[in-house]
Amino acid sequence: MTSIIVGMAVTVFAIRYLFIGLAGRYQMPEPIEKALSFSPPVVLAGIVVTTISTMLEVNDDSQSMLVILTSLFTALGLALYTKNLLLAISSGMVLYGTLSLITN
Amino acid sequence: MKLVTFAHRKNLRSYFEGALSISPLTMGVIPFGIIFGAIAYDLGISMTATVAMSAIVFAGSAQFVALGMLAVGSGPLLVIVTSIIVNLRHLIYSAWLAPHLSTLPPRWRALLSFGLTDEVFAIMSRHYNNDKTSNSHWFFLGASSVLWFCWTLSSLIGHAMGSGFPALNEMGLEIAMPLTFGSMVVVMIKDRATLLATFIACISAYLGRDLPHQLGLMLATILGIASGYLASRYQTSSGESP
Repeated sequence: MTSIIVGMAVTVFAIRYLFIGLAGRYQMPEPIEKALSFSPPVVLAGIVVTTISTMLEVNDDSQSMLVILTSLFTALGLALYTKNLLLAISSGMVLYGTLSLITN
Repeated sequence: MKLVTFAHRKNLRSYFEGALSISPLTMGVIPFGIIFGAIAYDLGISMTATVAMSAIVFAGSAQFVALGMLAVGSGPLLVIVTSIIVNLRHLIYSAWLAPHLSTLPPRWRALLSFGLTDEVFAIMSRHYNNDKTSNSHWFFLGASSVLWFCWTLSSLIGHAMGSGFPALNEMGLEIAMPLTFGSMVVVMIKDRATLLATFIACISAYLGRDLPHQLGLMLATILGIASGYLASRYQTSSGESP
């Protein structure tokens, strides 16, 4: 168990540290820098789709699916129109909690 | 002396701002930590090993995959190699953050790298794009240390309770992360190239959702970034502002 924990700790840290540790010692080529600028929305959107599809697979009855998707799209819609993240996230959470209670 | 105090106060304020900004995401992390601890307990892993894993590896998805592999009797090397694959997306985080951290001393870079998770990247990419200051590394430390504390403590609680809290799975707190990340993405989309990149990433992540070790997510990241880059080049060459 110790070897697994230490091995994982070292490799996970090495991946996270690689570019941050090298920063300043090399100049990233401009095209790579430009391409990387897309990474925050791209990775986060990928995580959203992966998590939501897992949730939909686990809760595969139509009522739960509707609750999950309604809460998600309400939050996304509010974020789009108000640009107020806190409002969007808390509304989505409250809606999810309320709908879950009602449908149960 | 007054100057030092002022600087310290500014650092402390940045630290608490970072801590506060990640707090909605801890709602999603704590249940996962508890479930992680409970599964580890079920697998007969000691409390020390469970807490040590959360405290020094600090990588939720890789830790869950490791438990799954240990449950089916995989060897240490295979578990470690798989955890590398699961965490490959952190290379992208590291590369994106590198220019923002290039002036920090090595110990700061190492400390912040250790705390670089999905949630922290989400918060920091937004912070560096919109509100970067000379104290941003304290903001980063605030966000990552709160998340680390919640993750480690919840793993400990999960192990201590064993499987005595089964309803946690059904509380649906895991919705917090997709709601937060999704809303952040919507606000980040400011031009057509980013919209296309995000769209391609969503489609690819959906199509690749059944690939093992989160490779679908990695594929979605690469395809999304590539399409965004190509679209921005096309926009530039056709004279449209990106």
